[in-house]
Amino acid sequence: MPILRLLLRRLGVSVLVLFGVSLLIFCVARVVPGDPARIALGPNATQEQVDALRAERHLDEPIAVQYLYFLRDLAHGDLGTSLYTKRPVTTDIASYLPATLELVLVAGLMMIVLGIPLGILSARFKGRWMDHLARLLAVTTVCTPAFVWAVILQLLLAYLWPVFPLEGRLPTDVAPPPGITGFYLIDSLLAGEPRTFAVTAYHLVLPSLALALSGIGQTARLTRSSMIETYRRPYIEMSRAYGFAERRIARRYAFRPALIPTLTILGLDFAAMLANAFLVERVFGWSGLSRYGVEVILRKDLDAIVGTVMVIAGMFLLTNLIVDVLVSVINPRIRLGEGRAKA
Amino acid sequence: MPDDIVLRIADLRLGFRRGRHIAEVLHGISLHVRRGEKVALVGESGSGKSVTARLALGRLQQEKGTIVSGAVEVAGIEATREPARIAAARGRLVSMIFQDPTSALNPVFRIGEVFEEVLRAGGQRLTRQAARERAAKALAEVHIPDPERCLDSYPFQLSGGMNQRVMIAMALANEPALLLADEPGTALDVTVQAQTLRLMDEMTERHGTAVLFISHNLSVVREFADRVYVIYRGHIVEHGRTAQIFAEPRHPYTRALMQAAPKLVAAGLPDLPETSPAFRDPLVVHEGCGEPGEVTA
Amino acid sequence: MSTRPSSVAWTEFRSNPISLLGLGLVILCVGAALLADWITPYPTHVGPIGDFTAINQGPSAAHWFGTDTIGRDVLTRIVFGFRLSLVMAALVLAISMPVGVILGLLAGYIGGWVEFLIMRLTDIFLAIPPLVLAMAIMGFLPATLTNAMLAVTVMWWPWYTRLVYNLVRSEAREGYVLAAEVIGASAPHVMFREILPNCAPAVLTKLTLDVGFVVLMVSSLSFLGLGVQPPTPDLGSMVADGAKYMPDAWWLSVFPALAILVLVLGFNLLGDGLREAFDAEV
Repeated sequence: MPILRLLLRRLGVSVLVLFGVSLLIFCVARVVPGDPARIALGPNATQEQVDALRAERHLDEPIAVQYLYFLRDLAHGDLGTSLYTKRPVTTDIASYLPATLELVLVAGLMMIVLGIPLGILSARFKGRWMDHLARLLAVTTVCTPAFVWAVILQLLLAYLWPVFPLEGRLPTDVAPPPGITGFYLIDSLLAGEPRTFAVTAYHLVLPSLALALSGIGQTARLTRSSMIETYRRPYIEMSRAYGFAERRIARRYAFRPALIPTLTILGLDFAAMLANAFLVERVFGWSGLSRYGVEVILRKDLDAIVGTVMVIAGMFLLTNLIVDVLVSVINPRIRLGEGRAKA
Repeated sequence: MPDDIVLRIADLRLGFRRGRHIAEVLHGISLHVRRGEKVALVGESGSGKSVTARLALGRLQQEKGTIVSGAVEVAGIEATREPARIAAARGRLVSMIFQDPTSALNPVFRIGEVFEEVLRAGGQRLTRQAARERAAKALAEVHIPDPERCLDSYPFQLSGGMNQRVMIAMALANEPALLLADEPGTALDVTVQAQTLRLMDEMTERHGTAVLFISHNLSVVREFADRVYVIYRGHIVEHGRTAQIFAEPRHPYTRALMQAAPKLVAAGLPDLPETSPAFRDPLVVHEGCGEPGEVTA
Repeated sequence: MSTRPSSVAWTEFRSNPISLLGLGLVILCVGAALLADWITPYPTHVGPIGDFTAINQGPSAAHWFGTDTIGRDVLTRIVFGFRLSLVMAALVLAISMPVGVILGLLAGYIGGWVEFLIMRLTDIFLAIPPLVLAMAIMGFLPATLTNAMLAVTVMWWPWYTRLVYNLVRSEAREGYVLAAEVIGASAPHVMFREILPNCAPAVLTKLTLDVGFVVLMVSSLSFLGLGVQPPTPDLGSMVADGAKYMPDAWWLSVFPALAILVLVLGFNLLGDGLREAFDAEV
């Protein structure tokens, strides 16, 4: 099964890269000038407190030994303890991550559902007003940081013309659904609370749109150029010479090959969303990983910073793995390997 | 007009508009192909052969900035003025074989999937199973050893020669009256190209399909065509039966082309003749080869 | 890769109104940044001191983009924000681009373990979303302007390495490279005199696009409070600070936000225009 072999190979590479990421982050964390314990405790801590923390975190041992400790804990799924919340980093992340993931996944869905059709329309009406509009929209959204969209959308649709809620995942008078997955959309359905589901979705609109906009632009732009490029290929000329219906070509014979580059880029866009979620969450008071991440960074909470970055890098690699699999599903050349099997 | 003519081109002009300039690439060419006849259109690249084929499919007319005048009739359909009818005729009455079969087959679909679409485009209402059987039969007809396996393959898994056979089988699957062959097999090596031509000859003979064979290579055309048109920079310069042209090439350009053609086909592309004012000499029509509807010489 | 000669590229570029718009926006922003001391109405408002008689005023003839909570002219601070953003982008790219390009050349041309080492390192850097990596680096450093630049520089070079690496891999197969090797040219000569000039259009295009993206990144960091600190006028922190006074003092964050848009859009359109003009893959 070549596809299984491919999957395993990519998985292996991802694990190695993640290992590299841990080394990188670890180096950055420990090599940077200054005593991390002192930075963490601040200038007012006594030397005894600092020394105690150094000993507790093995900061007094050589860097290589420290890294081995770190790896040992990592192998047990332990990312250390936050100095700020005094809880295990994994527990903290597990409680903040679902809110972020829900936001990012909904934004990712928007990116696909809006970006790809926009790109196709743009390619279909190449050179006409529809195309110009779509391209302008695409390039504008790509150039605008997510926080700018967040601020503008919030001003327009929550303050001036209050169609959508200002911030938060739920209004104060609605209790969160019983936490099973941490995704309010899913939990509310599982708990049979359609009203909570609707309110959650309603609260998700603005933040996820702000987060998705630049991805939508990017996807539309790429889909457009990919469709145009595909339409120049001989096999499309062949489809026409053989009388394939234009609609069938657009929906099937041009669409599928054109999707390959778009899909490849989607992984990158998704990564950008993971990062931009930090910005959007801040504007919309979203109690996700951003709140935690910024908090721990400002407090120089070492283990928590390393843990957060590791988790984000892991999600990013996982996304790319999924994208790789999807690409290989539509691209038989990858699925079956380059080799020729003579019929 | 006699109704055994499947392709009639009369005084066809084609120009491309670019800004305020119009570049004319066909300067009023006329040619015809009768039912079951094999006609070659020979000239160097850029002479206007391939655009002629695309005009016969009615494809080029729809593109922005093209200016077409004159007549292009495929099986009685005016390809310029009846875009809907010619669109319906594509794949059914007129079909085409491409230069590089591997790039002309969609890389992300199995041969079987594309073949099924070809049959559907030909207006055949078949179940999936029936379509597959038809396709397998057509592939067996072009001497593909394991048709079932071929249907399950992707183009990149097959050799170029194999893809060319697939292409021929697809082109003839709906029994078109006219087949346009644009330098078939030029992208393949010479022996495979020769096999391809023989196969195409055999198949069109069997199905009674008329062929407009487009090539830059006179010697390839010799074995295959009944009649030959030589085209030079958008003008037809010589027209005659294959035997007549090869026995007595009258136009300076034809003579130059013939000298340029390698004696053995092994060298691939022949060197093309240098240009010369004599190539602009008027059209030479051999005895008994006039265009239908005009006073024959 | 087939890039066009620059004369053809210029003709192509000139005939594209969108690219010219990009060039216009870039000239506007860079010009304003250069001349900030002379063209801004209240150049003294760069620092922490404003005009206490004119606090929180909406847009007016005297203050086109309004004034902030301590009476500083928003337009003035935006123009100085341009200057800061552009200087930071220039410094970040002036370091990360050459480093990335050289590593890419080495990895692509020398191959072997050099390639393995450099490209795997690149993979690791590219496996972390840039903003997150920059944030993490800022997590271990005091939040200052210099450190923010340092953090962005550290994560920016791998993009150039990957770009140049891919270019070198395709260029190395070209005839001219082989020809140079056959006549015995040294490896540095082939890399820097033969291959590098042919990578220039792509690198230049990316550089133009990146000015916008570095500005974006730095302002994102500032927005999170991890970059430029007050009172230095920075577009990202202006948006963040202004957002606290929404919607009443909407001009405080909307105008800086639009300013970021104009700046990044300009460099993006220009970069896109260059890409199309040179027909370069970036």
